[in-house]
Amino acid sequence: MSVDRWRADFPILAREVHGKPLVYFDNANTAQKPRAVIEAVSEFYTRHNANVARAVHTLGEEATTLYEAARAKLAAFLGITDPHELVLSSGTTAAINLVAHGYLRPRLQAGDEILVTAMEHHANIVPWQIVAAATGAVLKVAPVHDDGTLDLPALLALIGPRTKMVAVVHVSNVLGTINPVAEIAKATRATGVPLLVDGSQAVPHFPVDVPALGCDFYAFTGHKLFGPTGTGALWGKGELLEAMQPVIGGGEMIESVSFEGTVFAPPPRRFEAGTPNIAGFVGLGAAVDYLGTLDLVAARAHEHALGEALRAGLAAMPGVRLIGEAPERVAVASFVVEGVHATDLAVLLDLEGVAVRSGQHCAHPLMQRYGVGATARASLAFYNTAEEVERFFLALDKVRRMF
Amino acid sequence: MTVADAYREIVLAHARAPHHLGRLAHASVRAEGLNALCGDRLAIDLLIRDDTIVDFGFEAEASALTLAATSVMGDLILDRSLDEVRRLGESALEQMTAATPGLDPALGDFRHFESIRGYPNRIKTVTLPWATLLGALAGRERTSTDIDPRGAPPPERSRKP
Repeated sequence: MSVDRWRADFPILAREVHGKPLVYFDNANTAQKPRAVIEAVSEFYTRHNANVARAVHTLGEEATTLYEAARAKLAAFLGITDPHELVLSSGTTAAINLVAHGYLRPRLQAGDEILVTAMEHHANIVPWQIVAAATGAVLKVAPVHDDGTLDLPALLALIGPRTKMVAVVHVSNVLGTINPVAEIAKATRATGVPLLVDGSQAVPHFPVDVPALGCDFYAFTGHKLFGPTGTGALWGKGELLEAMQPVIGGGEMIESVSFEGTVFAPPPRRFEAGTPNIAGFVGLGAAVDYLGTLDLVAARAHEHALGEALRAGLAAMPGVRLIGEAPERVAVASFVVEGVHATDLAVLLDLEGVAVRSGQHCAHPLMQRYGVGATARASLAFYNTAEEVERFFLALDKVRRMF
Repeated sequence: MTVADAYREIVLAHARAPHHLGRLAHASVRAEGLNALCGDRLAIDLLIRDDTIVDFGFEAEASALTLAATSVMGDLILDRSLDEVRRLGESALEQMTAATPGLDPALGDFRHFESIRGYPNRIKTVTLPWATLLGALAGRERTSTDIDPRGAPPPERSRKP
């Protein structure tokens, strides 16, 4: 089985939790790292560590080359032809904040509107609330149907003359829903409103050709893509990045500095002040290389089939409610079990070696939408197995019998 | 002790049929506890006469750990003076959070939660009732264990844009 070969690449999957083999079903929270990534980070600190873009000594040149190579690999992975359109950041949150403060805020006036959906992660809500509060702009929210699909006509109807930004999640971290971002992009292009897509949960699951989506900004994170934490990026159309103000000033982001004034560097450096997570990005570059060595079509088909089996099993259990059953979805299943609180479920599944997330998943408004205080969430990666799904259900059965 | 001990039968019995479940018609003090991490909400009512807790009631949307911990707490605090209750509360929070826990025999069944010490996220589910209670006795209407498992006022809701 190919999945055995894939698993062998992830050392952590061999560990035990409470004396049981680990079943890691919390991939939407953060994915595990293949040996290639761990070794790339270690190799960087062992042999090449230096700061980037300043030192002309050998290590400095090596570090710069590796860091820029990571940018180029990420760009190629996402269909981006000009790596200079990819701003490296600490993650999706920083990327969205950069657009909120660097692009949108100077263009906002009281009464202007920012449009999001009811299924956003807090990272795609709170930055907009902050700039709205500072300018008197208003946050509008497109509704979600009961089955977890976006109400697209309602969203399109909310785009009006005062709309200054549309910000939509590509794949919901709670529902698993894949949103029709290309269709949304058609509407925003027609009206000239910039569209930001939060791709955190999309890029690990299916091929994304970012420029082909037709959006203006695309944010994502590296640690869900099997890379180190503290890595991520913002893609923006060249002319939009060019027109953006820096949010964080300091070293690396300038062309020249005097006490009379400072000339900012062009993008992406303008938005990368300070010393970045160099080793992290070297690791993320290695993650992209690693994914390139896999039969990704087969890996993702395997993951998707497992996700469907997981959902089918949950749906068949009496007293289990799946939250989100959109037809277009990834291998993420949020659920509530009658009589068993999500926290207890997660703690007790953990005793069986099974790691799932519980709680509100940084999406409080969505939890309120579905009238649940908390859900459990099982989220898969290509290295999960049918046997693990079976063990998950055995553990779930055992927990339910306790209550 | 293992984590499973926190879910031993006596704890589950408290969770299935919590003692003191339900709000009091006439409460001297009412307070709310929040643990946003787990999405837990707890409402407690105290009836106090002559510096003694003569009745206790609660409602919760919370995990079995929180329900059981609140049920056990109710058993422990009834007919005790406020001073004694404060001392018990401090002792319970100490048991869950201090570097070297004192196992206070006065804590009764609450000692079963000892096994989830050292899990910085989970302990908030069982410190919630005590933190809410101590907060209430200090005149605080709402207590959160989100930042500090020993309890703190929840942050103010930011002003609407």
